[in-house]
Amino acid sequence: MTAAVAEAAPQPMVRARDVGREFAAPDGGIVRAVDRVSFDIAAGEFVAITGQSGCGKTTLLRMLLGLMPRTSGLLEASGRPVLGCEHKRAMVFQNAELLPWRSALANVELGLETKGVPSAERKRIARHYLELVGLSGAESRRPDQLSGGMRQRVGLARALAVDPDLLLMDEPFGALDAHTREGLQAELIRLHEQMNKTIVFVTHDLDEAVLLADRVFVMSPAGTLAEIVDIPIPRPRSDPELIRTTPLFTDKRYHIWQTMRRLEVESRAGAAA
Amino acid sequence: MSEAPMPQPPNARAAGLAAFLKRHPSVLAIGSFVLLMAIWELAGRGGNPLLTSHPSAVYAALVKQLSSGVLVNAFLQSLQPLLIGYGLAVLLGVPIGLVLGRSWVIEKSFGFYFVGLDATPLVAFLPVFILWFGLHVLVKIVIVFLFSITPIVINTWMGVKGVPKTLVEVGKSFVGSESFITRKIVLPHALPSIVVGLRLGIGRAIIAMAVAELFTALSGLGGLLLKRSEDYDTAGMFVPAFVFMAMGIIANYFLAAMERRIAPWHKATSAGNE
Repeated sequence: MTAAVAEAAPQPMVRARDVGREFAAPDGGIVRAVDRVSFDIAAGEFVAITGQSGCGKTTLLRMLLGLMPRTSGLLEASGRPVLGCEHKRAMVFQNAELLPWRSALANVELGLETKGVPSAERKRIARHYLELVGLSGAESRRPDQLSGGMRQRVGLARALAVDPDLLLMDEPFGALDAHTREGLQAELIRLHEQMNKTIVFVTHDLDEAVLLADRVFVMSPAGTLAEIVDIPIPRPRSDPELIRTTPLFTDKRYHIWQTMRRLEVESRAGAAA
Repeated sequence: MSEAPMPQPPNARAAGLAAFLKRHPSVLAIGSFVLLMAIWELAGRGGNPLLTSHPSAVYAALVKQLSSGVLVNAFLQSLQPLLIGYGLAVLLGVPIGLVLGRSWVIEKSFGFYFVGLDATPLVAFLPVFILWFGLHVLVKIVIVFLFSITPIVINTWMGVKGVPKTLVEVGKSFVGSESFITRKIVLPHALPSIVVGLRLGIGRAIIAMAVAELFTALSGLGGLLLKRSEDYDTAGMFVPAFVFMAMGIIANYFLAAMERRIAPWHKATSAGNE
């Protein structure tokens, strides 16, 4: 019977209700980085979170991961409250953050070590994921011998290797040049459509948000979730260059840009008042 | 005509020499050393043997001290407290530095003792140590230990503090335990800094041993040095002094080689002197 109920109303991968995070400000007051945010994310969905710098998007991502505790609200992932980090969720960090003394292969093994996977099995899995991100030839290279784009691919393979339900990505392509970034965006679209992982992707690049996501969450400078924009661009999105030229893409991009502009003006007015 | 050698441009010989030296830079060091020894030999020969010496006299003294066995005996007497004191400093200093770097409470509670100890001229406490620990091996071990533990603790501690917060978060995000993060992320990242501490530590340990032996004046290379001085044997005094120097150079060389082997990625990320 429970199975029938679950089928009727599939559990969301992420359920957030009034999630908030407050910090103590240096002047003794309280800063609300994330203010009562509520949303559901379905399994297999690709959500992009965007907003100005300092709007709390990275804070929200860190709470989703379990790296930072929330100060209010209810947050569930895979049907269980988020109380800390778990292997069901993995993060791709802003600057890859690989261990500089380890080879690409050994870096991908990191999460498998904490998972307790035996060495031979670890190497097999790590090889598989390096191949998946197109780095089978670079197994033994150290991060200082890899380009920025390759390092970020290793970071992606490291996160995928623990086979998470939820993949969290914190502006992973922000530091890359335009050409490398576009290559990695196309690759991420392919991997998402192929593996059907749920992805939450923080970015300040609106092009990137619209191109990759099924829904874009726009956060206000005050840390609230101001608007959720559906991006009904059909999948597979196998030709990003073509998608960028469609009216649907440009409309959505312009709409989000306008929303952010409005939020910025409102927040300035609020600060002045 | 075409068989004739090409005329060399005027500075080709200079360029050839520069290229040779670039390939064999040790020629420069050896040349400088030979020159210095020659100057010392010439300048020292004319002087009063009570006040000065020169390389050939020092060499003769070395041969004498070696054949009589006093040098080897003194060396072994010095080496034992050096290795024990320094070994203890490494065994305790690295874990202490790790804990200081990882725990804020412990850092604030105990960190300042090591900073203070490092700034203390421990030589001033030598008479007290002699009072407590006698004139033999034990006092030497204590002094070597106290001199060499602070750079090891402080460099390990600073190395741990220098581990980027984001790398520790990577460990946490992949559900690494505190022990996993310490062993697999913090320790390897701090290793180059720890090895610097070990190098500074061995230098301090050798100084400490020399100071302790000169103070206690009974045994070891320092004791031998004082005995030679009481006999007005200036050339003989240079022999244990040079052994101290050689010990420092050799220890430093091995730790530098160890650093290169242990942290090859570190060289790639830090700038050289090119």
